Amino acid sequence: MLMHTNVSPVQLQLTLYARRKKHLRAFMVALLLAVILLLVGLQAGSFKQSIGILFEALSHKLNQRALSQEQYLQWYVFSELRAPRIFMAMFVGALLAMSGCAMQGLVRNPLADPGLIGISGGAAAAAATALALINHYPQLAVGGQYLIALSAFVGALLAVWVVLIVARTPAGMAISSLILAGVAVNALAGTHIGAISYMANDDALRQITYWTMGSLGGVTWSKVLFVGALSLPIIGLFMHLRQPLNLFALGENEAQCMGLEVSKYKRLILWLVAFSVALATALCGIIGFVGLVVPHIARTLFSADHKYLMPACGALGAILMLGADTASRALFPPLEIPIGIVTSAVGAPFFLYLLAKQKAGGVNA
Amino acid sequence: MLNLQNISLSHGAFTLLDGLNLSLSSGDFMTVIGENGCGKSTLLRCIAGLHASYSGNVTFGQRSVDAWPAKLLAKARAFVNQHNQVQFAFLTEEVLQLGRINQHENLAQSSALICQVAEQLSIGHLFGRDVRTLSGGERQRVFIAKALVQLLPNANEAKTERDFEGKLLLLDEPTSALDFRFQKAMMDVIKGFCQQGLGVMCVSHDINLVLPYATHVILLANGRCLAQGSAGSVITAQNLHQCFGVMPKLIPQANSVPYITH
Amino acid sequence: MYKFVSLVLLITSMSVQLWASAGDLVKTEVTPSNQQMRIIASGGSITEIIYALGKQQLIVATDSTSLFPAPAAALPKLGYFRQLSTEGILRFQPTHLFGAQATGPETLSAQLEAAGIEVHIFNEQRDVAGLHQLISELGQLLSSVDKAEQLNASITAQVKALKSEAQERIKTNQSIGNTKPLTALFVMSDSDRGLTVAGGNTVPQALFDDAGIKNAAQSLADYKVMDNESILAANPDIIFVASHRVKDNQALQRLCQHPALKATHAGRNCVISTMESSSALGLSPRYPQALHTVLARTASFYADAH
Repeated sequence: MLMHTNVSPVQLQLTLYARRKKHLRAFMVALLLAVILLLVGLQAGSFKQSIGILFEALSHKLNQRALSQEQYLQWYVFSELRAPRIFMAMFVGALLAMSGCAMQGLVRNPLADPGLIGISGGAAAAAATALALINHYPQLAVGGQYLIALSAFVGALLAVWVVLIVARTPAGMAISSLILAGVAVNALAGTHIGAISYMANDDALRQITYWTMGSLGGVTWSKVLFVGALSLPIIGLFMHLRQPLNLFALGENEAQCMGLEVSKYKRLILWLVAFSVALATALCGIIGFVGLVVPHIARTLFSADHKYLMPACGALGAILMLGADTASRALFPPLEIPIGIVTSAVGAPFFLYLLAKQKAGGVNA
Repeated sequence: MLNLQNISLSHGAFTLLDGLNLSLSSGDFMTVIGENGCGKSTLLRCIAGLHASYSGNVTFGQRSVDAWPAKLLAKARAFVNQHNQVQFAFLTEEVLQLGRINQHENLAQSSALICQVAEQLSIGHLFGRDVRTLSGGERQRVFIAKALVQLLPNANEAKTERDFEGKLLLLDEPTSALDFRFQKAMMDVIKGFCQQGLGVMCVSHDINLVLPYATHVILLANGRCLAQGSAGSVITAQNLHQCFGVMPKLIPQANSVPYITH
Repeated sequence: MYKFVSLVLLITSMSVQLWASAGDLVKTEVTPSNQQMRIIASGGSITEIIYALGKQQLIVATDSTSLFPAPAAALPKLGYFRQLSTEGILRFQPTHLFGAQATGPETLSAQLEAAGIEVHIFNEQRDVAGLHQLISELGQLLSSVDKAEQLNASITAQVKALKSEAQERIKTNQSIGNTKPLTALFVMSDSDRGLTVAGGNTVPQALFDDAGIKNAAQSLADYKVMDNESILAANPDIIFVASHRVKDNQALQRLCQHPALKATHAGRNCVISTMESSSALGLSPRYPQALHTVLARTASFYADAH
């Protein structure tokens, strides 16, 4: 109209193409980094690996020859201890980070965490109950770890279900009541854990404490295959949610006017987040701050556009968890630091830094 | 194109809208005027399909607005809020791209459409900027542009003189943050789209700015329609006194739309 | 670079191999080796008994609670025995893991057994009978049955003598009309919010039983926080404190002033005494010494038989 504008369609198109290419390149770099970390992770740890002996063990196995004790042990540590937990770390990291990304997009708040709606609180309360019961009734100990995982999973979904029921209003689900209900459910879960801890004996108490710190120590191939098989459709769904999340970023009314079935997608996002975090928490305990911090890093490195942000979160989440797991095994051999502590130790200060920056600048990444 | 029959909405004991009837055709520019809290924005939200609990019928096109599939409706009706907040670091062109979210077209096609609208609203120079860092007026222009981009027909369809036939743009205070120059320019651009068939319903307090553009004027008071019709017939000292409770002075103008002052 | 490339190859082949032979990894025959036992000892009791049986040269690493005898503290430490790292253990190429009841996490045993390591987790009954059983079992596993029998016999003899001494002085007391049993409280840790004390099914409970003393906290199970009012109601005559909580004499004085203890018999006269933690909190071949300490510290409550 009045002011001349100097962007031609061709220019804009080129800019958008260039941006897409840049993000794709960054994503490739991230994948490469993941592969490198995977190799480092397979090498690092208290147990000294020797590539030569591993190859010997492999060729013996392929030729169906018996292994020496040394070869067997090396092969065992490599294939049954390290490899499964490394893959588990990647799946869990991707799930948690993508959940965080979806959660922050949905509530339009970069400081949101999947734990906000009671998922980890519910999981921890249920797991603590199961741990105390197993301790009290030793006959339950046979399938103990499965009972704990199942309880944690059910507990997490139950907590979310309660939150959703409470937050439901005739006009749909209000995000503010969702968060308040989450706070209340988390407090309730905390009370429950407190009561159980008070009544439980020393053994159960220690187990509850260790469970809430999170660990990848007990990972087996069957668990990895289980999580992997469930992760693929979940990750697919998260990718499908990229454009809806972009619309949510403009506000719920705006999203509705732009053709998004807001209440349907809100439910879908919440349940998907609940399901994936419950899955990760049930098998590995509470692993904090991945869901909060990774989307921030991804937004700084990539873009706020969920088209790029979502896959970037998946890749960076996997990388962060891989790095944290490697650090937890390699930093203080022969000790292993619970992975929840490593991720929180990195995540909490970073979170404080973000808060401080937000206060100073008014705008945050 | 748009038909409202007996629209009422109450929130608890408080009546927001009370038996409204109105209709709007392609190319119409309807202005809704009334004091604060008289139900102007509520009316727009009902038409946009954001309020589920009203009684009465809102018919858009051939069917009730609630019966439209969401994606189809989004291609035919756009809504610009008075305030637009984006929480994340989206860039101007990314927000405009979202306007084409329901269309199947390639990047070259959508870029062409976006640049066309951006040029008309002179926001091309804002490309590459984080929308959160834009001024209120700049952001308002970006969101109006996004709404227009949303209504543009698919690039694969042949372009006609009546691109916006049967489409509806709902504007809530579209010029509230704009400066002296852009207020008028914005109205000119929108009027231009009306000539291509766009129906516009615009809530505004800047009566003197919008009246010359309006083909229809509705005067709202306490959720009721006080008067509707052409600007000349609705804008009388009597009506305005009834609506706002103060007696204005009307200065007659050449185009039969009076200038209102205290 | 060679390492890098070979690892990539290894991983690809590994994944193929994993699908081909999922599950039969564990069944693969391992060529037997005739090397010496290499033991991971997890739990202070286990380590101390292995030392008492003279087999300490077989231990390659222990958990962080294995601090007695002094040389044991210098052995490589694997962390807290409830949360050991499988890889951390395998690093020491052990052949056996001997662990106290709560050794974990729960996936540990299965993983170690799959790696060809013999895992023994011992059920501990927290009294002299449990101690005897633990010593016998370890003696068998370490092929030092004779030594274990000797150790057990010596413990039995000492405990028997101490128990009869205890019975003797109770009888003397009763003969002069003092029939009320002595009440004691074992404090494991203290804070101003409450005391964590030894309840039933603990080694202090066994010590008190053998000494003919009533445990003020016997209605609680294990180590629990006991609220101030219950402690006042139980009104112990003497307080024992785990030595790791007490740094100096003033700490004992301060504990007498604890709101839970101040008004009890023990608190008013400040009858408080430390017990060496490693022998009093868990099963230990030094049980007779611990029992002797309990008897000596309570002697003043009994009329002199002589």
